[in-house]
Amino acid sequence: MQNACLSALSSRALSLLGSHLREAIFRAGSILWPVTTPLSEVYFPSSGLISILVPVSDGALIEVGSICRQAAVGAIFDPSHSHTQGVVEIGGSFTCISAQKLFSAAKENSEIRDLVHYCREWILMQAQQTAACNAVHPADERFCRWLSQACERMDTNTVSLTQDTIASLLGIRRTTVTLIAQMLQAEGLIQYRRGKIAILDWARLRAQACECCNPLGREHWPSTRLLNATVSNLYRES
Amino acid sequence: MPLYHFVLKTGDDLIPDRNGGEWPTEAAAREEAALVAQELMRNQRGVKRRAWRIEIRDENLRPCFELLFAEVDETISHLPPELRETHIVASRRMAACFDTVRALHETRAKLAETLSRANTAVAAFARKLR
Repeated sequence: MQNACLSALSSRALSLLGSHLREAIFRAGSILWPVTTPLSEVYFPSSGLISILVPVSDGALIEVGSICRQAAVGAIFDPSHSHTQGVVEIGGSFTCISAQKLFSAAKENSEIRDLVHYCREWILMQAQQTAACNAVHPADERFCRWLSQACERMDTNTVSLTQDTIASLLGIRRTTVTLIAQMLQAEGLIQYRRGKIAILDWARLRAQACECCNPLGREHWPSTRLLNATVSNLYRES
Repeated sequence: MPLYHFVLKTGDDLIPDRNGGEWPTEAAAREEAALVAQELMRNQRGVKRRAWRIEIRDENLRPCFELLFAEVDETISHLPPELRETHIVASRRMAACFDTVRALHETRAKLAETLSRANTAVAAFARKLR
């Protein structure tokens, strides 16, 4: 399984990146970029999940976006330093490229330019939605939102993540997360066992999630937008 | 450190935390319960959850304290004491109503089970007579 953005590129566009792409495996907990460090790499997950975290004064790190196989993250904004931290929350395989190489290829090729543009917009959209979500939605709806989105984006029914990690990503207490998870388990929506959450009824889980899932649906994934653009270009050329 | 368990009492269910957690004192566990209640009530539309409760149990699962969500609801903390008390009393009555309904459901389920066992016994007896 490859990153869906890279798969959506035409062979011509992909050949511009080809020799610069490197494969890597990162375990859960790997810090891809620490806070206030200059970034140089862009990461395309093929599996797994990368969280973009913002540190707050009490030492907690709150998630403002998560990137799976339909997008890329890292030095995609090309800042000289970042106020965020990038952490692999769910381990997997990743394709990496130096941001410099990606941006020079983007100058030559409109598909790669679109890819960079869509991935930047995706990070921004998630940050905007998360800001609103954290301000107005209750903890249990946010928990359901996080879980249903993670499963949809990773195309899986099982997530290997401790309740501690989810609590810290969402900025809520561990006890609260434990009780929410037990409540969902009693309703037959999820099953929690030894650091693994199995989704038993995705549709009902999604129905209990806040409305923030809607503006971040499949049609807005960078890979979907890229694929649509590539297909319409092909029609235009033929 | 002593182990405490939290049981969330919603309108329909009793939700226990499976493994419990360690807190230096019962007061610290109570403080945690209040913070959890506030997180579960935060941004809630309507007043439904004010009648929810968290029961704290000790390591032997003996209940030692029960917190009514309304008591720590920040959205009514600005009200004059007598008005706030009215909300709390109403929530407590609602919680008692939840308990009664739950007890009724349990009794009905037990009754259904007893009746079904009685039916099986009667059928077995009838077969013997034949």
